[in-house]
Amino acid sequence: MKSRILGVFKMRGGGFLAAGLIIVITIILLSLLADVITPYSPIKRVGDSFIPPSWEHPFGTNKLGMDMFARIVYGGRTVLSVVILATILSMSIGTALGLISGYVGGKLDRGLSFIMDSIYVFPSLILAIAITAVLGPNIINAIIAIGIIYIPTYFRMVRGQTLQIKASLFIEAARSIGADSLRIMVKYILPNLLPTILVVFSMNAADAILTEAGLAFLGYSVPPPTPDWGFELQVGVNYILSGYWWLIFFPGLMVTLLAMGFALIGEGLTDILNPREVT
Amino acid sequence: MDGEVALYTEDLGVRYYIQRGVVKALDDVNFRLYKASLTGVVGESGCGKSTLGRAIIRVLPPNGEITSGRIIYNGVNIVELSEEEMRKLRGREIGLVMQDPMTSLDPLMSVKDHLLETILEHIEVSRDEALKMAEEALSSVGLSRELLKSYPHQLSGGQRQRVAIALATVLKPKILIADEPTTALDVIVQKKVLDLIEDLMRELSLTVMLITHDIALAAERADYIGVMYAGHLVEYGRVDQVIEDPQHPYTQLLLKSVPDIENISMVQSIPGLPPDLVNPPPGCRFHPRCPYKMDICIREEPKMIEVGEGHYVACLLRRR
Amino acid sequence: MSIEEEVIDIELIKVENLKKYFILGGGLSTLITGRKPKIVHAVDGISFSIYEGETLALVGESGSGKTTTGRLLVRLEEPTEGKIIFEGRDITHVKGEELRVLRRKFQIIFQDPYASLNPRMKIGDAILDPLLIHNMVGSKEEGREEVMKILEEVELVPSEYFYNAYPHQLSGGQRQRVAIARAMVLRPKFIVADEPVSMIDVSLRAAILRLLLKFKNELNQSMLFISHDIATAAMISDRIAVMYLGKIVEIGSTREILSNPMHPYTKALLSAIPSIRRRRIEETAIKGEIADPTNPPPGCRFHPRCPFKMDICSEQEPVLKEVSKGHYVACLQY
Repeated sequence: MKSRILGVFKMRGGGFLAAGLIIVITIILLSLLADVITPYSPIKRVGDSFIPPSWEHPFGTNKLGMDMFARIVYGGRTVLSVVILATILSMSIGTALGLISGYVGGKLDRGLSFIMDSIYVFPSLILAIAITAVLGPNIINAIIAIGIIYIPTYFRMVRGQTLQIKASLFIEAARSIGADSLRIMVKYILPNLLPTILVVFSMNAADAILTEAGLAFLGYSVPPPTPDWGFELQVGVNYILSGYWWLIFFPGLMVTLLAMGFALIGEGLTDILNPREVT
Repeated sequence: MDGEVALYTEDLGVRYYIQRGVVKALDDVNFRLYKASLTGVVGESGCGKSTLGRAIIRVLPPNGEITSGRIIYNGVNIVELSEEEMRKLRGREIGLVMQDPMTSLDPLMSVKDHLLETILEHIEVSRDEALKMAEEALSSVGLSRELLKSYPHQLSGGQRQRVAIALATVLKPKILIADEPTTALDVIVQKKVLDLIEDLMRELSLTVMLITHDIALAAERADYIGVMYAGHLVEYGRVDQVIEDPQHPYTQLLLKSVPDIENISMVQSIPGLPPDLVNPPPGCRFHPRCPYKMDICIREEPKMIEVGEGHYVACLLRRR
Repeated sequence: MSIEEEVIDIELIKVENLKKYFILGGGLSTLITGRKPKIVHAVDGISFSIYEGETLALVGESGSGKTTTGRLLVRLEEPTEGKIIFEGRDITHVKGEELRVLRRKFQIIFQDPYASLNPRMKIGDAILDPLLIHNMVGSKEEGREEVMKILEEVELVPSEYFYNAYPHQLSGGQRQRVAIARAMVLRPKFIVADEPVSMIDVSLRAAILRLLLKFKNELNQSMLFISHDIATAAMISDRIAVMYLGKIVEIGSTREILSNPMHPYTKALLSAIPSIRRRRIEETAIKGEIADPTNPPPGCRFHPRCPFKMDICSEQEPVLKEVSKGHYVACLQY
């Protein structure tokens, strides 16, 4: 069993998957173990303002004298929870709707597809801003906003695959033993969608990180002084000309790394789950 | 009684390389095709019958390779020919018809395009002459010249297979390898396609190698039959020898597994499954399924021995 | 095996003037091209009965409508016209929950064992599912026992291994055994076997056929055995019906059809089958290939290919006529 799990990494795409997992897991661990890793609080003054990176403050300090490293690792908690919860939200709703729409077909399908396409044509960040602007900027609403904008991604993919699987013989065979629609969707179609959903999940998480950073950058995510990478970026931008590069470099690096990590996982999974070689 | 040999193989071996290891697809195959006769090659799927056909015309898949032995045609060892020389041989000397013409025909090319391309690639004739040859080839397979303009999807399964045969025979080759040419067709159409192959055989004195999983089909059409199992040729002889006096237990079981319309009775299955050719069983490869297995069968690999004139079998039971 | 006259035969299933038309095209393509949608006359008015414990073979070329007939009988296809009477009850248009419950009584085994099983469902769960659907077991444990039992009956042993295997780990023959187990676990009264061995290696076919016969005898089932191969059909059937372009052209006891075929098409089918025992035979030469079912020929549908064609054949449509006891043929020669 163990060798079979490790064998995955030797397959084509295994390298991507491994690299992605290392990055994402490292960042998750850093955030979870923030209390242990850094002695500083992310929201208290711990020294002078604008100290450049040093042994004591590896990522420097900001205007208020807060330790940037502490703000980054604690900020990871905010980013990860928003992104993961939002992605789970869009995944569950998008998958359920896509499955029903594709399987049932007819008017319901046309209606749902129209709504989803309408959401899809909006640029995601603008839509997220609009939603948070209506609901008010806080972490729950950020999750809802990001969750909503990615529903069509799952919907379209799941609906398309459902249409394809619905036509296969084993679905007909399920009908012939007397399975009802719910059973066919849950027991026969859904398991066959899981590999694709997993791929979309990682790709989508990567995208959601960027959207979250954008929202926070524009001040529509968590209210200060809660640490958040996008928020750090927003603050940091003001000091570029002053030469305080560390204020923007480290949050930017983390956003990029995390997004890349998820993208690599998605890329790797695509190769592993859809092997192109025949023999 | 036997005619001249048109082509023969000597200890032919073919390997496929897959992730799991090396597939011993053919081993020590000594096979021959007699001139202007039809030789049926039969066996279960995965026994190597298609590989043998493809090795002879050297169109193995990219992960396959002839690793030992010789294929002698007109005194020349085909295995040693360059790809360029081989290309000249294909079509002109040896033609190939495959199971599903839908995959071997290009959907974007009309019947005419297919025929012209084949002709012009191999021989130097004017376009007009080539067109005339194409028309003749089409009428020789019983299709009207109006079909020249059709595309593969506009043809029925039987018509497509006729086009494939026209393509394989337009250059009047000496040998035709037909790999399950009728498996995708209905019985009535199958009969007609086989009748056509026999007509062409007579007309062009073609040597035909008919690869089929249906031993009844081979029994009805062939002059000689080769029976393959797990990459080995296990029995070879004239059709009357092999069908009426089968010597290998596998041939005997194979004959009992097909229904016979002349005498309906329940058929029998061969117990077990063919072996994995990455790790074939030691000794005789058929021993795990053989009802007459002896101790020695596990240890010793049987060699082909002649049990009657031109009738060969590879079975330790028959060793004198 | 044939039906003895003194036995009173009970009709399990009765089909009356059954039709199924498919519409090809329509919708946008019609709008753009202006072409009328084509109507495929897949099954075009057939009537027959299957008696209790009897196997009827339905034989014909691809495009004859035999598979559609099978799918109509197990209600996977909605009939366009006609009636299906099952156990004396009209089930032609039964729908929804009522149909779902009824499905326990008739099951189908598909031709392609590679496509008929859910690739992500364990073999054991695939066989368990019908039992759960029809509440035939009290608990999962009880279900598991049932599944183990039937796995042994279809000779998939060790059953423990096969219970936990996935379809891709099995050979074609083994998969077809799973499909049989899954259908038979419901103890249906009627089985449609749609070319169950045509995709399986010749050497393994007999075992599958024996398995079907075993269940048939144990459960006193009736079976519709669909096959393009009349020799295989003859081994397993009591009666044979020959289909051509959506119509039954001949029907009779297996013995009668083999020894005394009447319809030119039946004769051609029989003579086209290769035999180990004979080399080349006197044949009934028929021309061309099966016609386009969107536009069946007028009169007798077989007339364009028939060697015995008369003038009347292109005008008058023949109906099934009894030529000897239980042997019907639709040909204007008789």
